[in-house]
Amino acid sequence: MRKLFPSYLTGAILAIIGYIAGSQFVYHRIGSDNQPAGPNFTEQGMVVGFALFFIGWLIGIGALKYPFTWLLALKDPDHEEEMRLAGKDAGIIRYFKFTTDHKVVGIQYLVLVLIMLGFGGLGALLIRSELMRPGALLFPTETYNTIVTMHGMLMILATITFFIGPFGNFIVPIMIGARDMAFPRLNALSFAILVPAIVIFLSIPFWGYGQANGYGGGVQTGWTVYGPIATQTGMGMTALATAVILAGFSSILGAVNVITTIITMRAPGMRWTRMPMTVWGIFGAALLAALGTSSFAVDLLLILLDRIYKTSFFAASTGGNAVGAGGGNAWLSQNLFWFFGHPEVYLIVLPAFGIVCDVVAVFSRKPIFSYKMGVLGIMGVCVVSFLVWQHHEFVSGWAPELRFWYMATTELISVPTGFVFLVLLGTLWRGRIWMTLPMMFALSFLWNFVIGGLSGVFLSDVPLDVQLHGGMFVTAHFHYTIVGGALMGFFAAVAYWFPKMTGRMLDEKLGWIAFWGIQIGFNVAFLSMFIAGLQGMPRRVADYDPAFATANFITSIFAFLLIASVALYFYNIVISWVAGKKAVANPWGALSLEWQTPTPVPLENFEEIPVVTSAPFQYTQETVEAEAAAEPAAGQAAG
Amino acid sequence: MDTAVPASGHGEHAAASHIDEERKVRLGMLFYVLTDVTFVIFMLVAYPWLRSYNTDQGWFPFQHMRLPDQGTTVTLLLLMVVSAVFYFIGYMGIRAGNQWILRIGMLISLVLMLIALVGQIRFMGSQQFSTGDGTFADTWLLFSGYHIYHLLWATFLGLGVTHRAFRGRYTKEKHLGVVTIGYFWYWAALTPILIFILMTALPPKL
Repeated sequence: MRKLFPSYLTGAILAIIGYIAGSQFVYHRIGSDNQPAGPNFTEQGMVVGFALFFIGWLIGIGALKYPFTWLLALKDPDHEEEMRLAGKDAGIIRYFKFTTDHKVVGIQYLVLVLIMLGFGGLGALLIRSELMRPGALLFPTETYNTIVTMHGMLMILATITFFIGPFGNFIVPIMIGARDMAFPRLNALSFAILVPAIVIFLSIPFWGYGQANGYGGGVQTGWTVYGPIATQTGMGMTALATAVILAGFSSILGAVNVITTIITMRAPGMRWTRMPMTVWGIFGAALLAALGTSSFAVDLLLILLDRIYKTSFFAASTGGNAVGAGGGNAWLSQNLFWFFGHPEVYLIVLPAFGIVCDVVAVFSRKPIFSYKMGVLGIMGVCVVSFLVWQHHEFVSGWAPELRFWYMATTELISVPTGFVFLVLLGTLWRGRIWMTLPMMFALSFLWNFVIGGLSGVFLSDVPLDVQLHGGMFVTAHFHYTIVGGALMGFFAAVAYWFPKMTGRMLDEKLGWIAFWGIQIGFNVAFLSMFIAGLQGMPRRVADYDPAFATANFITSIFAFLLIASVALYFYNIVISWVAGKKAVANPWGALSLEWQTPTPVPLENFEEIPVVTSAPFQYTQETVEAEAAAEPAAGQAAG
Repeated sequence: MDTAVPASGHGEHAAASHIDEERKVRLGMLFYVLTDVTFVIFMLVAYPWLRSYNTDQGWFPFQHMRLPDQGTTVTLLLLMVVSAVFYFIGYMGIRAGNQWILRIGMLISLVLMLIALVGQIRFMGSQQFSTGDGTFADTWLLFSGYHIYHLLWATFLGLGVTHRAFRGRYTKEKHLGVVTIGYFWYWAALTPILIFILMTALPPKL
């Protein structure tokens, strides 16, 4: 029983108390009426409530113990205390507490990401159910808009997190020969911050229905949350802004931790040119997160100020709920958003580039082809991604004279991306291919991302974008890159590292059924969506012209297949975790450091820090022939 | 259990701890400060942006509106600068192994910062404009509020480092906390200077 204090249970209790105390304080002590000339006390109460919800959570899980120990100059924790905080001998309860072991944090992130993807997928199910036939079928328009917004934003949050969270935490320290992350407590804190952020986010639909403001509840802006529509939409916007600011804070804390770990904690001999590509991909993504997230945070802060304190950052003139003197500018919101928004999509996909390169190398039994070109590709994308954002604003009217420049940079970014694909193809060429589940997902990444990437080249051209902007072609494009690319990379990573993270093998049969359902469902659904876009169907609409009915019907049917197949994959993860075949320490015969540790990985990863003497995946003809001679015993645990 | 020293793969034998802990902590803190720098930069972008667009003449709509008092602005700014100077003096003191210079430097730095905090809150509340009085007013209040946020963090960190200094927790050999908190302290002092320069270079009244 004592082990439950502190834990997520006490955190939840104090979080709820904090919310009630904060919101009620504002409503009853400061003001309860939304006076036209004053602050919006209802939403002010929400924000104060959320803030105390967050602080109560941190206190309840014990995350603030060390800062106050430091403040009061008490004795610093000794090694035993640090091991206890890392969950030594704590059993399964360590996954429900503030635990500093990076492997525990990685598992916590994995579970949370799966939950986020599940809720996001539920949103997708509702959206495609609505769009299966013309006519507003299932939901009022405001509700549909809220679902679209939540689906988009939640999936973005999930995809931002699903590499750096589980794999950046669990795998990267072991992969570079470190005992833990650079700052273990901050690592646990970055996860701890994300939990209340997601809880607040999921509350969005429940705010504001029946309010007198005339805009309904929830939030109807789409995930781009442009001011001034974000200022005028339902009360769910305040919950969204608070949640995403918290999630951004978590992301920044985690990103800096990853960057510092990779720079300072590599094992002796682990030169930059000997790091697995996974590490490069996660490093690039962490740089983007650390440098770009603040832009979106500022945008959300200004939206909150416009909503609560009636500022005019995005309100051009008085009107609606605004009572100020105006002077605001909507383009400011768009630029602040997209300056982060575009690097953010590369933040999502860069780790997938790296992971797929490593998976392909292992299952081709070849060193990575032109390693330096691959690194140049990843870091080139990282740099150029900050130079392209205006392509989202080609039809906004802002700075039309710059459109040529941004068209050029957007087309230019396909060059470093192309490097990565050449590396993948060169690695596969004349490799001894072993078709495992991770390899299948890696190959599907290749196929899907090429389609998504090529459709992006079309959108980068101003004349074409003028026609296609705001339509389903764009939706199909980014689903091909994010779902077809990054999500397939995530599934590959889960299948590849599942044995190391859980000590079990994923069920291959279930995995293959899920895989083919995902590929067929995804490709048919979104190819059909491209057609709807080319026909002229706009995006973010609950109803549409019957001319688009066939394409939408096909998309919906195959989207249901996709969703069911993803659910099957999740089921496979759960069932294999609980009762799957026990895994050996290195079922894939991989050569990177994480596969040289036992399973389960010891608390401090390595008894002694290894010295690295070569690049990873240096398969030679001799090792490959020796392995072939030893089949089916060697590395066949997957079968 | 298998040996944790890899016998295959790309790692071979074992090494003693190779990590420069001080470099690690310094780098991490510098990166965290850098992320705050990016936040401030994006926030400051709002000022020239809204000023140059001046949508519907809403930047400075009421020509009779009184600007924040320049004298108070400069005084508060100087308090931060002097606070940072004393922090640096305290740091130099412990580098030389002098506990009392450290303690006095930290204490004076903390007190000056607290005066700046209270002063900034009162200054912000005493303005003749509020939100809704145009976007100059909005940006001024935004920057002022963010500076107060910095000062609140500095309060916590300053209390901690001063208390620990008086408890003798820092030595000539071991004072990493003073160094890394200094990164934040100097940045917190620099931020209002940057805002002042911006508002001087691009005056509120067009």
